[in-house]
Amino acid sequence: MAKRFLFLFITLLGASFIVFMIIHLLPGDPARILAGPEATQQEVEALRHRLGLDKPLVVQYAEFMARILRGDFGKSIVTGKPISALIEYRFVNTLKLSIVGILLSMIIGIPLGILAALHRNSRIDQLVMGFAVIGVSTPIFVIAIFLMLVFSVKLHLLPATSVTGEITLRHLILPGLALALYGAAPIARMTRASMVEVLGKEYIKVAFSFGLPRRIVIYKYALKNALIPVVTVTGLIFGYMLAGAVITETVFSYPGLGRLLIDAIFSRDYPLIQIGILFIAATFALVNTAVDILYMVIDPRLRSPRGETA
Amino acid sequence: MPNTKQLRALSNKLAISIIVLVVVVAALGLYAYKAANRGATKSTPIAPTTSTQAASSTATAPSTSPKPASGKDTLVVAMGTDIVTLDLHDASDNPSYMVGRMIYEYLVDLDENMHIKPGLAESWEVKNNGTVWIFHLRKGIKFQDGTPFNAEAVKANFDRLLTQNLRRSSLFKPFIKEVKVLDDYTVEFVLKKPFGAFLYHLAHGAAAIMSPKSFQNGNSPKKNPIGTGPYMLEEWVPGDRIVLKANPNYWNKAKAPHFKKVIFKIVPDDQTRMRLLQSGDVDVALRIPPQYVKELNKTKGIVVLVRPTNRVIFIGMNNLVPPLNNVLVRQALNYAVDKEAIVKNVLFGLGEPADSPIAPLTHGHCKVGPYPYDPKKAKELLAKAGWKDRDGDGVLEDANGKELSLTLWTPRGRYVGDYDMAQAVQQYLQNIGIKVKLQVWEWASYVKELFKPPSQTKRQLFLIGWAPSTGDADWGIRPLFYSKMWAPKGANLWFYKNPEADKLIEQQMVLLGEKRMQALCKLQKIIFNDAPTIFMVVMYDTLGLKKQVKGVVYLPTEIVLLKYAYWEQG
Repeated sequence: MAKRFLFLFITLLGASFIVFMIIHLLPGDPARILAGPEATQQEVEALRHRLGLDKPLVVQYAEFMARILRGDFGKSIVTGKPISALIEYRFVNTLKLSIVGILLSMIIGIPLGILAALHRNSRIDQLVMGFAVIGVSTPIFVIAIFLMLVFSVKLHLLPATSVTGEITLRHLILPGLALALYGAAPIARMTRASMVEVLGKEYIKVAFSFGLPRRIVIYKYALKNALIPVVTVTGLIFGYMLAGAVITETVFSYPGLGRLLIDAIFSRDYPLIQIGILFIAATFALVNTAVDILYMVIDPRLRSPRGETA
Repeated sequence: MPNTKQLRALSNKLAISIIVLVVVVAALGLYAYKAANRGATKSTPIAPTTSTQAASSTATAPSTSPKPASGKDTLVVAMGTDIVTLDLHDASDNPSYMVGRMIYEYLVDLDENMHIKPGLAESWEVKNNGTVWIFHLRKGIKFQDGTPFNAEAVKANFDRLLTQNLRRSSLFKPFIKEVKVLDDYTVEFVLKKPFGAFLYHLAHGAAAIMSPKSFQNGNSPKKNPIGTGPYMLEEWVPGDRIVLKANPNYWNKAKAPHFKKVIFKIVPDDQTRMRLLQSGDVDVALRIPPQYVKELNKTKGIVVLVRPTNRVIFIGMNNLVPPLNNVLVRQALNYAVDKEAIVKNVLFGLGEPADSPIAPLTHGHCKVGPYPYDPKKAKELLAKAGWKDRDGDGVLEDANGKELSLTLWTPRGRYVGDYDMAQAVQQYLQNIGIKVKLQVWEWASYVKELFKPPSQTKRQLFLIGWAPSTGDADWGIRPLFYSKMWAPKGANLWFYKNPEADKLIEQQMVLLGEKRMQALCKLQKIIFNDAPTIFMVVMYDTLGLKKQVKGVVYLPTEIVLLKYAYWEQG
């Protein structure tokens, strides 16, 4: 377990270093890049002094990290507003959306996977897996517009966007569903594959031959073990959603992190780009570590070095 | 507990019902989409309609009208791009002006036909052959922070524009010598030289009259914009929305703000914007993509306004490099492109061919064209210039056998139909034997590249639009065609130079009235004949509204004026 945390630490360090180096690798004067093309020469020099951009790189990096850890993210070039306020709002929104998205993914994907596994090689299996392929190969843009057309435009059941900026559950359903239809596919596939494998194991056959009811064997014994790799996949997908599902956010005008980063890139808002990338990288790394640890908790075999690796 | 057989049957049923559910939802969606597009039958060009649903024999299209987004309290507007700043003295983008015009007001106003009307100034006089303008201000007006509106305030605003280096100072500094306070409600502008377009500059979005307190003593209108208008800023969440609230002390009681709040929601996706109108989430949607206008028009409860703008789309040509340095070649390119067809098929009728370097609604416009579609004439002109198809391969060559080959640069998504127009132009040019390579540019990089000086650029043909934000011919012609305005100094991106045109440009600046119009007419004729660019089309703009929204004014400078908008139920 300690190893996982070590990896996390190294990942975060690496990501922050790369983000820090972006400004220095771009052509031009780093202070000018961070101050923006509109700033006066005076402002550029002031910024250079404040950020210590004339000091050796290592010192700069240390100061950069100190500022980040303090929560001083600097100001956006384009709007002049402090980045911390901007990011917080967007990040919380993305968090809400991702949670709804991943829950729906699991609700749709896991039962379908089980279904397919139980009836493998039958019509049902083919239908379910076909659905999975459609879910993953249909551009998410199409899924999103489709949902909006049906539920907002035609049926007027759900809002297509939040105009007041307040994000309630009603605002999360459609974009969450769009993400979910996309994420359910790999979850369903993994569940099916894993279930099939587990159902073929010795101990399952033994359980059946003991005369235990089929339902208990499937759901109590097989499923629990089958879910282990599913947890990994789910974690990965959650991380992807957290990284900002830009297209879904664009279609639903959802104020999330993905759109923030893209907007920042288009408007060359370098301080915001830096912090945005850092947030996404850190979140992804944290989620993956959490998944790894969860994995270890669920599967006792992984806790000791001698255990059978899954 | 149910037995295994029943369980299996149950899980089978579950499976089947899920599959059926998915299929039903998919079918619903397909039906919804088809129904939405069923309205799109033949031709008839778009005209502003009220949308009483035409009874059609096919299944009804949208059967329910959209729920009001918010009743009458709040007006919700969807726009595609965020504002840059509410310090309008320092802003050059339309979204900023549009929202700013709810908060600020101006000495003079423009109406839909680009005529000057009194604004914060009730009347004015011109003296000294046009170098002295005296404005009589309305009395009894206060800024939103309680500061009185008077001559001192006006002087403070223009002093700021004249003495500081703000983005829009260049609209005022070259012309205004000084601003004097004659008495509490009389202001005098002393100009360096008579300036025919002066009133249009005062009506420009950048000439906003702000409360002097808002920009003095270290205060910044960027954070706290204070004007005399019917609405005030409540909050701005960058990238998401701007929320305005009503000004309870607005001076014009006859036109008091009708809404408690106005929300500008930023919706970057074109299609989503109009879907939000259909779903009822917003009341106004700016810029509807042309291919959806018909569908939206047929939606019950929604009206689409189509209005000409003063934006002209050009295919710029580098006048300094061969073969484009030959006027015959440039004219040939103008004859080679069928602008009518482009308007009809690429813009879905939302435009008209350009008949001058400026649009008909630009003050000072004179009809001097358009170049008709005449590929035969184009080929003749090119032959005269030495370009013929000498080896029968469909491509023109010069006397040395070199092929006529050009690159065409275009942005994508900056203007409605920009990329598609460029593709069409490429095709037309290829039809008369010119090899054209198309290159797409990302907008910010494009702008940077186009403003490079002649020695640093590789441009040949490039698509670009221009809409004079003052609404006057001077700003539509001088930055683009005056030889002293070659990039990077000005927007003469094609490096056009004609001393006769230069003289007329300088003349029209200092003339007033009919004499000025005559000079402008001559000038437009010369430029059109010199063909420094392919004069493509004048763009139309679209606006989607719930039919209860009234009082919306569309200015051809691509500004939607919502300050006096109101809601009329039923």
